[in-house]
Amino acid sequence: MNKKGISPLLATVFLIAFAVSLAVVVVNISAIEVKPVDTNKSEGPSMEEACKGVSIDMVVIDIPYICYKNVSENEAYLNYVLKNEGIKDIIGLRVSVMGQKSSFTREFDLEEKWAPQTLLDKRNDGIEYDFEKYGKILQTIFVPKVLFKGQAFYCSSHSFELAEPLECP
Amino acid sequence: MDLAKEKIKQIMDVEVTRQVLNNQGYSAGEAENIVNQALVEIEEEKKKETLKKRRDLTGIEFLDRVAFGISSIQYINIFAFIFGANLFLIGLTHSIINALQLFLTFVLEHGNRLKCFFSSQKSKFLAILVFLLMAYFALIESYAGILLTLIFYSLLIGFYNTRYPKKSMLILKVEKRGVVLRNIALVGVLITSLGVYLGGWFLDHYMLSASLDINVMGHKLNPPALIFAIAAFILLVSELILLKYRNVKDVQDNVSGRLREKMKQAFQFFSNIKSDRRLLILFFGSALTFIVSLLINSYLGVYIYTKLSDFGLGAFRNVAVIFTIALISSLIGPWVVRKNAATIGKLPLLIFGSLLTAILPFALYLNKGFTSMALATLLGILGSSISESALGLTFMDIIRSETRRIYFSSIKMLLWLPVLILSAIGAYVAFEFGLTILFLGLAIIQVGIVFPLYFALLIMETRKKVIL
Repeated sequence: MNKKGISPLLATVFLIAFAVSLAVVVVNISAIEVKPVDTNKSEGPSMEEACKGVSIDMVVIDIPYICYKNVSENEAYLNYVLKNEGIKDIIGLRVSVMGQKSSFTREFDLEEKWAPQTLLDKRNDGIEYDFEKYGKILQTIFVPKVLFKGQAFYCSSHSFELAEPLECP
Repeated sequence: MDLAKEKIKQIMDVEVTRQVLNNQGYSAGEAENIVNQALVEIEEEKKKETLKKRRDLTGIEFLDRVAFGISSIQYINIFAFIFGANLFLIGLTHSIINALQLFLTFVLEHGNRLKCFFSSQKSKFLAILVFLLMAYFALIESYAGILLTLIFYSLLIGFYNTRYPKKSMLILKVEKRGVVLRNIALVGVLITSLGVYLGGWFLDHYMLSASLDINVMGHKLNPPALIFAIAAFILLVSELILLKYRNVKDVQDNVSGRLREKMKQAFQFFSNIKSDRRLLILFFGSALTFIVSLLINSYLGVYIYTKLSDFGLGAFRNVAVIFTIALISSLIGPWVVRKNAATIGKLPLLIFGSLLTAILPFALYLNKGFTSMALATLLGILGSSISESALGLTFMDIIRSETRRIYFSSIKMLLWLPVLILSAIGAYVAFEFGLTILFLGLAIIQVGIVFPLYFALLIMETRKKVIL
């Protein structure tokens, strides 16, 4: 029962040396550093993978049918008819319109899936456009949205663009 | 049979029940059989009741910890940071939280009105509302709202965590608890870690993808808002289980109710400390280590998120892993001190702990990568937990039990203001000079001020030939 501990000063010196050596190990351990994150693995499928086989095109009905229809002096609708040329269902669209004064973007999901080789007819259900606010239409961009492995992707590399659309017939 | 069971339950006496049955015309043998059968059934009912309570309490513990895990404070800091909060605001919020927690703990120990108001049930219910509010602020991406709500959330959780364990003891006694509930400290850490990891996985998976394309109240639903909503829902389920035991009242602690007197005593004690150099050293050393740990905790998540998002498992899961390491290592400290205090000494362990604490900010300053930070977290948090345990034991040796009681009662009152001011200064340093400089400063405080203070105490004690 007459057990004696070591001198506290000596114990402290040993412990300090131990703590310092641990610190040295910690700051030199970068040699076995883990690899960078595999983005495909941790973030799910890549956009390239998801957008493979996605393609949209414009339909021509007398004129290229991305056109504006005036409803008053300044107000109009940007109407369009597009065709799903790809092999995948499209679930939504992102439409960007660049006017002479400013631009805007609208994102929306389609009520029904837009199946391959079918038309999306928006001749009477286009996007509101204010000529006074945005000015003359210079450019329109349509980006398809698809669902792949449970995730939604905007396929910006598979978009369709039309500059200076005409007035609808 | 039913009569026998009822009588045994009512009068708790088998012999009397037998007599009652005999009086009703049963023979001695029949009465014996009925009583024995009734006893078996009563025992089974009790077992079933115990099992049900055990299941309920385990469910509450599991749900609570998963909810707090998936919406970990480190994630909340990161969300505020992503939505535009600067480092000063994040640090200041944590300073306020910690100062308020210290102040309120003191107030609650000596005045019970507030404590009685926040029962475990009520505080959890309010925490659910606060979670929903946080989900709303995340939805509208308001960092100010998130940080402000975080203050209320932390205080409510503080109330809940001090009150619920006592109530659960009244619901089910220790000897009737299963393996899980008896070892809830350890199991709880594992469940919380699971929650933190699940939250990290969810955030890593959905933060950058466009798959949560749902509009709520005119705003696009984002993963942080969804995380808070899920946490609120889980807590609601847990609250519903707890509601079954609303008749079991929270334990009313003995409180002195002499708040003003205790405050005066605290300030008086502080002026007396000056005459005792040993006490003064321990006071300043422990206060500085507390503030260093507080500042590290405030910024660890944000720092890992910003510096290591492209390495390891993924931005949020890296935070989850490091947070889990911190949780587990904080459990090891007391065990290390208990095993070694007698042979090595308490003061040497206190010095060792304070040096280990410095490893974490130092490694963060050097930023040598994920593995280095994970190991530094393990050692740093272990160090701070060793310091804390060794400090408690050192106090027991240095000061008499009466003074010790006054010290521990007064320390919260004395510390809340310095904590608020010094950690706010630390937050300003982080904002003005960056986190790396702050971490370097914190490492220097530990090695350059706390360590020499404790070492000086060791020399003083060695000269007096008193082994602590």
